[in-house]
Amino acid sequence: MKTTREYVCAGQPLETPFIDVHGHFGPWPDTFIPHTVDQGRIIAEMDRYGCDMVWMSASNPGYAGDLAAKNDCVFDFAAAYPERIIPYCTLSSHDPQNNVKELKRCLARGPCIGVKMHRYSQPSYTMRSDFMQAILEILAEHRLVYLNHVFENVIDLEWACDKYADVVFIAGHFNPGINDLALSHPNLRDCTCAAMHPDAIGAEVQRLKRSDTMLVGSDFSQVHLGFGLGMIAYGNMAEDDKRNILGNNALRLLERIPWSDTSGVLAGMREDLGIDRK
Amino acid sequence: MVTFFDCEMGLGPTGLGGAAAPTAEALLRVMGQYDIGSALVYDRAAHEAGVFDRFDFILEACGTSHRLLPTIPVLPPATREQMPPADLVAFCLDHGIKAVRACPTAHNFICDRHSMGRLCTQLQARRMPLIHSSIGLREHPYKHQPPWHDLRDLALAFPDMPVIVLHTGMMQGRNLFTLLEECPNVMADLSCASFQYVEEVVAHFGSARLVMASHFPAEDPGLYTTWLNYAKVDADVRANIAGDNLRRLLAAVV
Repeated sequence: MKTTREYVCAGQPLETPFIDVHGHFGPWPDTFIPHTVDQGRIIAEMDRYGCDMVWMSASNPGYAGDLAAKNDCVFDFAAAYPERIIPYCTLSSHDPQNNVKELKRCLARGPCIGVKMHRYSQPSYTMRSDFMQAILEILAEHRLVYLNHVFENVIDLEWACDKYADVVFIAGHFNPGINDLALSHPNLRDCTCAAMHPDAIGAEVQRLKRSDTMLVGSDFSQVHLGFGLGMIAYGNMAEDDKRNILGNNALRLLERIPWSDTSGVLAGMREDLGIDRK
Repeated sequence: MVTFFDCEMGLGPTGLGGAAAPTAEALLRVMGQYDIGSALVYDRAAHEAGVFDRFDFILEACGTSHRLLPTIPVLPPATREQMPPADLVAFCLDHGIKAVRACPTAHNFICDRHSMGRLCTQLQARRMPLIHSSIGLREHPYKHQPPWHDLRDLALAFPDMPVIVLHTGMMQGRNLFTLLEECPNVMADLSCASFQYVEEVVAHFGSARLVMASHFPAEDPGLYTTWLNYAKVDADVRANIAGDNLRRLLAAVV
């Protein structure tokens, strides 16, 4: 089998699992994204790269327009491509009293990977904020994911990781400090999104001597898919480490979610993966 | 497989931490890692430190390999920190320098026809490209916004001078597309990272308007090489963007 770098240099679809855990879908008011809501073009780009699946939240997540309508935009896309697009329920600290209702509404729509929250243009909050507790309890009950743009209060993040052990917390943008915390908190992951510096991820794998704490993310489809894959494909790390970050680590998270067994989203990928499921 | 001609690579030590290629050999190793065949190269330490009148390091380093093509920074002639414009351009041509770099944020000046007119008159006469990079030394490209009015002013005032805009800002498509439409002498790199950006520029303005710049050592070249490898464009379009556009531009310098 060819290496990831060889596939990328040839512009050929990857044949190993490729799951992007940090995507967005919807219109953007402050920038021009050509064909931003063209579902067919997004799926076609995923096909060209060999990207199996993108976990997507809303555009302008939690700070623009009607939150339910923004979530419906993503969930409608996921309904049209249920094995390729897995939606996050996007929530906001603007409207804390309605977050639980919105989360339950989204969960009732079908497979949902968890909750995404951002920081821009909304009141400050931490994982210990009162309104967060009911959200995290629901995520724990369903063994789902909580993705945040950036965890500003690390002490409260650690507290939440310990209290909600069945929730997997993902830091949305590359941060070596999160990887350090993940060594002592098995339910914490770092997303590689925007690891801009040359071979930052390869250096991080070498520093940690492991690759199981990182998940590829790109902000696709606000930006192109190469914004995630490119930092990994050329990196100075073993091929197994690249494959972990590009897909295997995310597959392991999917496997622990109850709906993954019945939804069919993992069909086909498990055989390629060769994960020891015991 | 695509081999790239990179419009911006920094050579030499950096005082900002992170990756660097202190020597030509080190830079060539980086280029090999990313399938970059040739590159327009600038002196990274001089860029950071503000050294504008000594070009020995970059010329000597680039003299060791035909794959490394030197570029030098330019400033408003009024300050007289550099040779007079005609002498500076003659120096460039004598030393194989076929493009110059204006970095108005890092070097704190306004880059318009008023400040740069005397120099641009000389550059235009030689069809020598002006590479424009307005990003700050520690600025993140996501929210970067080039000085669009100044760029438009300069490009319109010197319509036969190629202007290559690097670091367009990742989310500045509305301003960039307007500039591309109004100024045929403007080209841009791939830092406008929007979904479908490459395909859309090619569809509306043609494949001659884009170049590949890796921005090493500030950024990972894989961001851009990967994107171009997978873009939904024909092979000749991909080749143009990967390097042929830049090759043609430099070959046209007289």
